[in-house]
Amino acid sequence: MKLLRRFEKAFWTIPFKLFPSIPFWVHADGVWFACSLKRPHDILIPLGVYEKTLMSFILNKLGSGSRFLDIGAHLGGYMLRAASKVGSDGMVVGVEPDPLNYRCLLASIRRNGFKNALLINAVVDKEPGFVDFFR
Amino acid sequence: MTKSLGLSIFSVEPKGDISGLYSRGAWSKRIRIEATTLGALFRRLGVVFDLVKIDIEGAEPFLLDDLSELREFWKMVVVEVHAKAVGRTCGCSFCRKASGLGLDITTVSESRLVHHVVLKKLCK
Repeated sequence: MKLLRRFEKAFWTIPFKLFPSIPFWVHADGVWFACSLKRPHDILIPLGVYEKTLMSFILNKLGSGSRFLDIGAHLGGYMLRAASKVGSDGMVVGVEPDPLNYRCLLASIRRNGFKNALLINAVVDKEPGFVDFFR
Repeated sequence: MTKSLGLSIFSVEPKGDISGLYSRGAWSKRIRIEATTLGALFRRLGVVFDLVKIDIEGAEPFLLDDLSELREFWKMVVVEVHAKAVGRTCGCSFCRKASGLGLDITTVSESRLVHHVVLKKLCK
């Protein structure tokens, strides 16, 4: 029985391991979010399940033409919503170190057609150079 | 529109040996990623931001000095402060240091693990 459960668990993880970079799409608040099959639980972030107070605070502070910098953008829960709010006069910059999140966020920006969004793949640290990132 | 800071090469090291765990079979992917500083980022972008959100998994206190030096580039900063990293209560070292640097602090939300605080420049 234990072996069967282990096999069952391994079986369901096969697609996630084979196609980690294929995104699945979530539509929330009028914005498309790409999530990786490798981390399906990340779907909760674009849906706005976490940090609702902060989300409403940030979106209230931003208006048309605002400029927003998101250091640690993850899947773009804040960045993409902000990009849709600030409009074409505004500017949104995201910094995301994780390559998988970066690819998902890039795909989201392209799909939503945001021309006001800029994405940087780097770590913000005290000193420039290279940093080991564990996943 | 995308922009890289010049280096976009990732060297993937399949094994890293920490605490001898990896020699006993543990496995973790370690990726080497380019690091930049807040100052370099602001100067490269050359824009004054209305709002800056910083959520870098517990390393936020390291950016405080840079933030106070680069006041001309931002109007308001929202920081996620990890209570575990800086002290349990929100009379924490992060907030004390921020007020010492002349920044006004307001807590937006707080939970057991993280606090979200807003930093503003104090009028002189």
